[in-house]
Amino acid sequence: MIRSARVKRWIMLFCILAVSAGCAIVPQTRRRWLADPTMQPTESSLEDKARRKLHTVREGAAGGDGEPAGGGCGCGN
Amino acid sequence: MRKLTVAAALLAARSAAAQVGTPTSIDGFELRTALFEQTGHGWQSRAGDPGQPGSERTVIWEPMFHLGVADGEWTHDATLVVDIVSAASPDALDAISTASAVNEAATLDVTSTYHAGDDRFSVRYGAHVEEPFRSIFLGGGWARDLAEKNATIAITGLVIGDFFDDIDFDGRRHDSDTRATMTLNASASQILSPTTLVDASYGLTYQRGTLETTWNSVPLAGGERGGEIFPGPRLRHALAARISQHIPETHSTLKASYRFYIDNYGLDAHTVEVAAYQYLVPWLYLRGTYRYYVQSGVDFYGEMFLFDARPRTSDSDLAPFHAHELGAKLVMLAEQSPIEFLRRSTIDASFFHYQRSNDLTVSMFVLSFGMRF
Repeated sequence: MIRSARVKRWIMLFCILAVSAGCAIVPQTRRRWLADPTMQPTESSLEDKARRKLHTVREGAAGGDGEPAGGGCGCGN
Repeated sequence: MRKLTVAAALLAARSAAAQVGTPTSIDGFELRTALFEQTGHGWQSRAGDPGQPGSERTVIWEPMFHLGVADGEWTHDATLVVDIVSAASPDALDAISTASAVNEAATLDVTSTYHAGDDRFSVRYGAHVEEPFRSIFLGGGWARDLAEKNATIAITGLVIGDFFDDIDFDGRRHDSDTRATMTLNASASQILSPTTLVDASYGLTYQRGTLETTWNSVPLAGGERGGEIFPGPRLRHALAARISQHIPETHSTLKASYRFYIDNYGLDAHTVEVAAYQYLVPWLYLRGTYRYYVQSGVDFYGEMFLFDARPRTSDSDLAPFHAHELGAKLVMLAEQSPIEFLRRSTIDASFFHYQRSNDLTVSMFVLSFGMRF
């Protein structure tokens, strides 16, 4: 019951974030710093794969980042 | 096997290049090599003295290759990852299973994306080959930019089919087993200011079939060992959020993220990660990361079971534990390099040290060279 309430709170937070998309407008001419390599969500897809593999194989929790939680590898976690 | 996967990667790139009537160009490529060294012990492993947790020593060398191709409205990203694995736990079964001391695995992962104004539609497909394991996956996605690209929302789905031999904890080979994984992810990102970006995602995964690691063992009362038994299909939820902040005055960037995970096996987990980036000169920056992870363990984890207990597992990866990970990375953006050849390239070196509270340590070294055209 507690877990279910916690999940609902997170889903609500996610929905608020999704609905609030478009509230702030930053013109393209002011996005210089956002284009910096250090601000990219994914610096290197290969590095992400390597680190994700370590965490997926050695921990019981995975997913939520656009990738499946388990499956596709020889581990049952 | 390696020849096949390389051929498939080239075929994917070539098919991208074969689109008629539109100019095709290679966007960029990246070569990366990673070395994982793991030490530790777990009750599921038989590599050690009877009645004691067995060795989980593993060394993995992982060469990786990424190729990006642009073709009019289409872009294609192909990734080939090869694993060369030497692991104590499966090697302890060698006498019966005749498994080799060193195993090789390869994964080909291709995403083709169609760009239509603010919308992007993608299809993702690929395969994983490893002794004695085969996996194929197919999925699709949609992403849309909103409010003059100040926000992006995306939905992706993926179906994975795993096919593998059932090798038990004594190394005996039984029938083939299968496992199916279906996953759905939703994500959103939003620019909050000229230096601030936030993003969040939710992932739902459903798995059924043989979810156990068939060669993992479970200590039983009386000194015997049995196999793992899981309770059935697994439903997993994961929520993640991140904020990224650039500080122009010091040319630094800070990122913080949190992730919450819960599933129907009774496992919940929290992950907090922070990263700090600092430019040393305009073409060289240093990144430091710290990650804290804590999980509750599945409801049916134990270090000793009665003979008929079910479900049951002694897999240390499913036990309650917490973990710390420290990382450092040095990245050279050669755009401003005095050497002409290097101006489109990126070179980086990184190191991660992962330490788990239940006797497991992993060190990872990574070297990378990439080029954009």
